[in-house]
Amino acid sequence: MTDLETNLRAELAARDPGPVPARLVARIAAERETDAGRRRLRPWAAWLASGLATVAVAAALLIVIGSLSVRPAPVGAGASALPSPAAPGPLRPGDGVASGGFVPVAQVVAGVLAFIALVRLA
Amino acid sequence: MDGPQALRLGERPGRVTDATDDFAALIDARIDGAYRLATVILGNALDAEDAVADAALNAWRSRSRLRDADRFDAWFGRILVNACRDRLRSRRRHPVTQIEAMAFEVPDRGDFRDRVHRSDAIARALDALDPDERIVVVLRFWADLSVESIADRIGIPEGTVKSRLNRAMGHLRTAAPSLESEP
Repeated sequence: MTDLETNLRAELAARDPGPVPARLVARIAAERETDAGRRRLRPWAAWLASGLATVAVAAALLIVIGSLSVRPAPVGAGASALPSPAAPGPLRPGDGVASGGFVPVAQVVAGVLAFIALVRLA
Repeated sequence: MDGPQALRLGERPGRVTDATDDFAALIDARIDGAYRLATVILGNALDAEDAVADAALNAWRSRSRLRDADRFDAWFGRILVNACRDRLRSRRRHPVTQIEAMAFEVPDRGDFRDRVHRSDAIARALDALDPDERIVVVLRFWADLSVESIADRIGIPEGTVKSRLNRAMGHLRTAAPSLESEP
């Protein structure tokens, strides 16, 4: 064996890290578990996707069939629509005026603050 | 029965749970050796962890392709070596700038200084090898595999292994000429 081989073997032996760290074993097990879970989900995802697609196609067909089956309103000469039978009642005094004890405090305060701010800015 | 003879993977697709459990056990039993080999090839324990994790996941995903469980070691070994080769090549594409390692002062005590210089020279020469050459060198001089076993492990002809070994040794001699002398 040459010096080169001896030194090479010594250098390679020095690179040997010893036992595997526990975190690597745990990582591999976790990755395997994740992968297995993903694969377990895959058939369900495919089933769900195909189900949704079927429902969408059925809905589109129903809409098309429904719209074709409804007869359009006849057009041409004919009687016009009757006026609405309910006539609006006359306005009484006080209609549209707020009454009662409700005071919109928040709105009033906001308005005052906005006014003050405008004055200060000016 | 323990070990690879316990099952013929892929022959009974109905028994997924048992087969996957056995397969996981096969991989787990080889993580230690795989980690050590990957570290020696890559020269870096963190890279080796990534390579072993990749190899284990790849093996797990492609377990249905392994028809003969007796071939598990060679099959997994090949996946591992490929993972290491990918990392070495990626490292070449994105080289890391080395901090000036030679700046430190070595105590001027004959043999110690010689040892440090010798180790440094061989380490640099090893790291400069082409990934394929480095892999055969490690399998030959660290794992002590025969040329035939290396060929089987990597999936190349024996002649290619020999030529890679010769080329690698030539590069090492050129890179570290002071180490080449008959004892």
